[in-house]
Amino acid sequence: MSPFESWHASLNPPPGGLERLMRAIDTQRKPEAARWPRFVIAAAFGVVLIGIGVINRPAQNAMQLRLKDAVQTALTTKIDTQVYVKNGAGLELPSSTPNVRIVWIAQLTQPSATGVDSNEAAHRDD
Amino acid sequence: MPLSDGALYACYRRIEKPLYNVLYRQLWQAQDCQDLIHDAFMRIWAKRDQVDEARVENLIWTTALNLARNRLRWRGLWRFGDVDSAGMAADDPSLEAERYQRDAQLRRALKSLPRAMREVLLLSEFGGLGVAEISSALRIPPGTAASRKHNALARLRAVLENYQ
Repeated sequence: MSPFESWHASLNPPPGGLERLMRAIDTQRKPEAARWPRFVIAAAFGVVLIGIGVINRPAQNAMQLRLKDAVQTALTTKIDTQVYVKNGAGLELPSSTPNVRIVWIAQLTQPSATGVDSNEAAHRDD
Repeated sequence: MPLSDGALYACYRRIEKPLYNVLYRQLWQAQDCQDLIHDAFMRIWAKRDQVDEARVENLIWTTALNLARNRLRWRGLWRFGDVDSAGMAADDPSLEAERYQRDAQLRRALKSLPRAMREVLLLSEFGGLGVAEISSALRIPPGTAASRKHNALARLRAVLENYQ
């Protein structure tokens, strides 16, 4: 056989080419498919978070209002402690000793500006 | 109509062998040829949304030939001495040696042709492509493809006969 004739000899490609292509396309497809559920989960999670935020918002507002009212009441109500806090309020705290009363003083300005001696906060109830 | 995987696999089954035969006579390495065919199909698959099923075969040929040109440039080929057996391994070592010798002669003869002629010749003789398909794959006029094929065959025959 001359080289020219042998040139026409048909070669068979190595086996497994098509399987390799199928595997590669399959592998390429998987991340695409996997991206969808992840996106859906993330979106659903986001929606849930926003929902919780929206639901909790009025409750949070109500709590803030109650706290504000309580502070305002505490600041304006005079308690029967025989302690007068100028520009502030006193709150009696529970005491384990019967003849000792403990009062918590809340001041709106610097102590020096109130003219109140902190020694007045706790005194023996003789 | 965008390309489906079924159409791509069908195309692979159809043209793997002729494509391999053409590429082997350019690269002379079985594994390189298989890798290149794989790469060509993957490239077309990556652009599947823009690929018309009717044109896929043509695109594969064009892509594979471009990849082969790049591969040859990258290798600094055509150098000699690294022809592999391309899956034609014979039990008889003397037959194997004879084949190797013939491949080396053919390779030298093909190398003596200008690249444009060589590609037309390979597509025609190994790819089994007609003039219209060759002109489409190489993006040249059909008349040019036909004359290149005629001249290439004549030159190759003359070169190969000198080896005898």
